[in-house]
Amino acid sequence: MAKPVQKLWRGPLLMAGLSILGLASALAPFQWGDQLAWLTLSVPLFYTISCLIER
Amino acid sequence: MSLKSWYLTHKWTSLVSTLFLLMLCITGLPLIFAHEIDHWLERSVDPPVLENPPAQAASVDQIVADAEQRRPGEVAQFLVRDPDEPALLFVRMAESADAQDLSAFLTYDARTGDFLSTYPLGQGFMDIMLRLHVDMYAGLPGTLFLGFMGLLLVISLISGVVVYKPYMKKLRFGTIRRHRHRRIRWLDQHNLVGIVTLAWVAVVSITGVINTLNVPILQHWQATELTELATAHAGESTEPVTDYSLDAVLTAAGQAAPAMSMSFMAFPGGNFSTNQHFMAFMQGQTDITSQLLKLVMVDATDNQVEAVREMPWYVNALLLSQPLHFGDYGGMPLKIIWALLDILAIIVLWTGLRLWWHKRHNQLPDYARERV
Repeated sequence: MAKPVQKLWRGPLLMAGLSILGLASALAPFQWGDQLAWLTLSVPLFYTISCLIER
Repeated sequence: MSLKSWYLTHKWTSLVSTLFLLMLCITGLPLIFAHEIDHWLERSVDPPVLENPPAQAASVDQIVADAEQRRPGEVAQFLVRDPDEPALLFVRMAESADAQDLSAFLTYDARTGDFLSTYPLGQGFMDIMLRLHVDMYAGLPGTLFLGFMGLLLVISLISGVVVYKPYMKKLRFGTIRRHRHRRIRWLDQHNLVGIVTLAWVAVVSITGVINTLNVPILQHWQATELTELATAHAGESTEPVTDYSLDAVLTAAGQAAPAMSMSFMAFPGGNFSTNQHFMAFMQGQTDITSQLLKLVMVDATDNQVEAVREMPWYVNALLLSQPLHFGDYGGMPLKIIWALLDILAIIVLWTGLRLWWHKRHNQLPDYARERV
């Protein structure tokens, strides 16, 4: 079972990882880099928006 | 460091920089779409659609001759290309080759050589946004000051991560306690948006700090590597060479840097060249190499390539930090995402400011304070 401190950082680490992957992939020399960037950067963005507007 | 020290660090680094960061986020928002807004405001033009485009590009010599004819008393200082607009060629004019400030920025159709427009310098809404964002109308000191504010933001982000833990250890990630006191709601919003956008804000702020060092970095490169190159290949000309063939120079530069295209080229006598040499700054064609430059030094008198140099690491760091700050390297969807993340950053700054203000002026009710 995960310790509380690990659980606390799971969400932030996932969001940071997705953001960095997104920022880097638009510069990366492969064909779908831009699309991967849009997808991965959209996750933290829309997760935040959904949390903010959830009633 | 104790938790209280981290909290005070977060509080004061944020308080000192927040108003400037809010200004940077707000002015940065239209700047993300600068290209589109410039077109919409008719400050810049699209290349016209040609029914029968010529097989060969127009003579660059004729384009520059036309530019100098349009601007008597001025000289061409740089040729500039935009990889997103390959059908356009820009000529930067100045009062002299080594002038610091440009006097005009002319746009030509690179296919036909037709003059298209003059970019309106130093006027309009976008210019105000740019000047506020870059130096607050205070020149280099203003730019360096904003860089210092960016550094404070980086410290604020690090300390913010440390103080995030005690607030969130009993809460599920993403929780906003909507039915509690409004200060608790703001705190949850601040924590959520701050931690989710942390990596993006960190990258944009660090690259912003690097961008504020643009002038010192380029001055260092000019004083060291460029001077060394100019000394090693010193020509006989004591005055800038004016009798040259730009088309031949560009062909020589292209052959010296295959699979690359000109990003910009400095004319002889300028701060980026020598009296006898053109300096062509070539860029690659992949996503990452298009952000980096290679220098090709071409003798203006005989079109011989004298040297080909990679840029040093610190110039490459500056060049790579630009797209990561501007968000203009992944098409329109990335620009939209960048703008939305910028709005989230404004929310973090605003909720942080409100939390501080409210705490200063209102004590939290006992029932709420106990359970924060």
